[in-house]
Amino acid sequence: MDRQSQNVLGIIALTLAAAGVAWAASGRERSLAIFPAQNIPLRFDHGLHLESGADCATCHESVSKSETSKDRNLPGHEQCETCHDIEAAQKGKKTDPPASCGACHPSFDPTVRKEPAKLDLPHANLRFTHKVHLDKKVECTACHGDMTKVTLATRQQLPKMATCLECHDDKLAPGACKTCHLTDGSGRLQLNFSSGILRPMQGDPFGLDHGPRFEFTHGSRAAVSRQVCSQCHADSYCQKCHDSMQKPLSVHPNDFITLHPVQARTDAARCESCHRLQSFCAACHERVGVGMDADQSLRPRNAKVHPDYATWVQNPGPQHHGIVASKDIRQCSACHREETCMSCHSELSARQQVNPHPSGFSNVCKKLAAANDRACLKCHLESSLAQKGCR
Amino acid sequence: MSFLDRAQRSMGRAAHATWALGLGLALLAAEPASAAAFQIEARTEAQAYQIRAWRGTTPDDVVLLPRRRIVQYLGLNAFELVTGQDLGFEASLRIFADFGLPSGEAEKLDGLPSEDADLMYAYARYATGGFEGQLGRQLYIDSMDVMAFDGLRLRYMSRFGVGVEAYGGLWVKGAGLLASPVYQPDGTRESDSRRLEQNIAGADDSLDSLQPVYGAKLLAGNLKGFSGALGYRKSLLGGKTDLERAGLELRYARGLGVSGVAGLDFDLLQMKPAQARLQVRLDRELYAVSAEALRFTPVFSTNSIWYYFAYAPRDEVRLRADYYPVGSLRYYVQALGSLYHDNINRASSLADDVDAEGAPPSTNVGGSVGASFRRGNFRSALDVTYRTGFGGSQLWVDLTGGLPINEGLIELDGRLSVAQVDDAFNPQLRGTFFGAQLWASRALSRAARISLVLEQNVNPFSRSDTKAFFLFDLKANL
Repeated sequence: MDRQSQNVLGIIALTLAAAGVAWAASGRERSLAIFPAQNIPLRFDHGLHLESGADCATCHESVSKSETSKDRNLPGHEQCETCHDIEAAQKGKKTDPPASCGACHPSFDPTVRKEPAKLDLPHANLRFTHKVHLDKKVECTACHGDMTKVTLATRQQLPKMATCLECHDDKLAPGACKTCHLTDGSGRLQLNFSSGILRPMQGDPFGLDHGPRFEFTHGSRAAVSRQVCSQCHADSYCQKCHDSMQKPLSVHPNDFITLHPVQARTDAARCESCHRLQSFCAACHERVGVGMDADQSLRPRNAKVHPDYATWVQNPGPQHHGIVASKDIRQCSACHREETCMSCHSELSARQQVNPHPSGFSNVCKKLAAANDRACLKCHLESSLAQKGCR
Repeated sequence: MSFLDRAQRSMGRAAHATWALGLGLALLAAEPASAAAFQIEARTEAQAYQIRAWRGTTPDDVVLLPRRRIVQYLGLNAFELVTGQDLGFEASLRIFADFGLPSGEAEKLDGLPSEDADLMYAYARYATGGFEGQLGRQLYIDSMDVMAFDGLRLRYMSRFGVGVEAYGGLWVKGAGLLASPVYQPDGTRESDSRRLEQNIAGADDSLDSLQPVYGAKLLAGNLKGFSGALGYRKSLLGGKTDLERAGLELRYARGLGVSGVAGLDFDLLQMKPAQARLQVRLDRELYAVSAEALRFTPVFSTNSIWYYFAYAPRDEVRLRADYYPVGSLRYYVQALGSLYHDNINRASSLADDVDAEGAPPSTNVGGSVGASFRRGNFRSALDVTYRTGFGGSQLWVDLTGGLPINEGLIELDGRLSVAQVDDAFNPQLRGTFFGAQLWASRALSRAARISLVLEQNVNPFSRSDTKAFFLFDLKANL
């Protein structure tokens, strides 16, 4: 990398670091898909109420019977009036505790407006019943945390999935995703909500964080946890990228048809997660004149993707194709057909008969030939196999 | 075979498949008083651009090959065909045509049809308790491979956390009926029919043969935090072993937020690990760190001569740290190093040249740094990746941004990318490549969306090129 590129990289890294410090804050978001954004134009102090002797059920009386997340379970004026003498305050009397409109509805002046600003409190997109949890003696704090230092409760007091999983471990309580998450007709989790897309985020207790570059890193996990992936995704979702036909615009950068050889040279395994070398890559390479086994009319005439023929094929040396092939044979089979290699590596070739097998191959050839000798017989005669001790 | 004949044959296949799917659905849906849910999915993708080919007599004598491809996906899904029962059906059919590829040219190429119809999957599924069964064409993904087969898969997981899975059928290969080669064993052509017609020596008529595949797994689900599977798979072609593998998958997800994932795949023909991967990830409120070690070996059919060549695996180590100070912004940095092994026959005169001056390096190192940002509806991401060593050096800068407008009625996305590449192996691809992409999409209804993508690239190789993509997505519940 030249000096200029190093400088550019350094500046980008510094900018990112500086921006990170600038943005640093303590708040952590819950999923907007699960808990949509709220607007609660209220003044309230949970800590003060608990300190005054109230318990949760004093105000949230309906919770014990609530069987759906659509229930708000918030106290109305009638519950507040148990302690707050709203009627007296409306007559201009001084009350303790305070009971004027402004005590709970900041900036609300009943002489100017008819009603205070409304709460925007969408229900959680979950399958949830307070009743069952309370019947099982689950403490409010187990899910909502310690409220003694909380003023106005917001989304931050709603449980994160890691909290749920402390009990929902398939032993104490069911651990299946659809125990709590909503599903669509297919039985898979519903992912699209008007408030956002359900997507595992940072801190996901299953280690499924679908963060940046997840397109490139999910393979390891998907290979061993397909059942987990299929809780949300149908085969058609995977095939949107893995069917080797469509260009996934979020994966391949611009101009990828021109630039893909560069990435393929270093990481052909990534290509192979969607493309078979012989049935996809080689065919297209033959069409554009890169592959040398193509029909005569399609053969390359000005391609210069290898060193000169003598260095690459004829003379043993550090730039001989055998070294590259040994390190990454995918590069060869992405453009060439077996015939290319057989022209010099087959015992039946009139040109050369260079042994392509690794050291010690003769010790295992009998076992391999017994399992499948079809490939052997592409390059060897039956008599030759027997002579080499491979029969 | 003329273009018209091929097109008619493909369309005929597609029509038959659609008719069969429709009939199947109708029969399945005939259950009276059913709470069945039906879903159709359709996706249309059209591409138009040109590819610079190497057929010219000089580098300046450019031959441009047109790509005018249209791909149509049709999906039919049905669920809960019997009220209260997890009985369903899922199918996806793909039809495509490349109007930029003349049929005469396609006939000279193995595996590049100018039009075709592929049934990607079509299976009936039933599940009850810990039992699950799938019958039909289905995808199968595990640590060993990604494949598709026509057959039956049965899975049972007991309430004690142990289970078993068995599957068997015919591997879906390009030469099959309404079949795509996308998941077939690699290392051989999808068919040698063209070469057989021309009496070319070495053409293999077994490539078109039916290929049975079967396997089984012992399963563990959340046993003291461990989940995993121990599996075996074998595939035969013409009565001879094509692939034989054993796989071990393991996952641990307990403790101080550590979740480990491991996968290992043994090639039984040579009794050596073919693929291996080990990942450990620690997730915390403000950060996550992960380490991953991988071994990659090409997965070739034993019918391919390359399976017996002196090639070696690549090992890779990846370290990554993510930091998310607030919900709207997060950063990550990733480092990776690859080691390319070699397997040169020690008796070969090349053995001494592997590490000689001028030989390709055995390592490739690099990393990525990036950030993503979400605020309100706006989202953006920046990624900078650099790698050097085996395969040359490459620097990629990728900036994306997207904004849904009017609750997603319209969505605008943009992407700017810069690549600076230098590979002595391929001097034609050297320099700085710029690209810009603009994506505009509009929802036609809650179920349908139409998108247009324009891409403009400027670079020293093709100088300037423009690409256009059109997409139409439909997903509707009936």
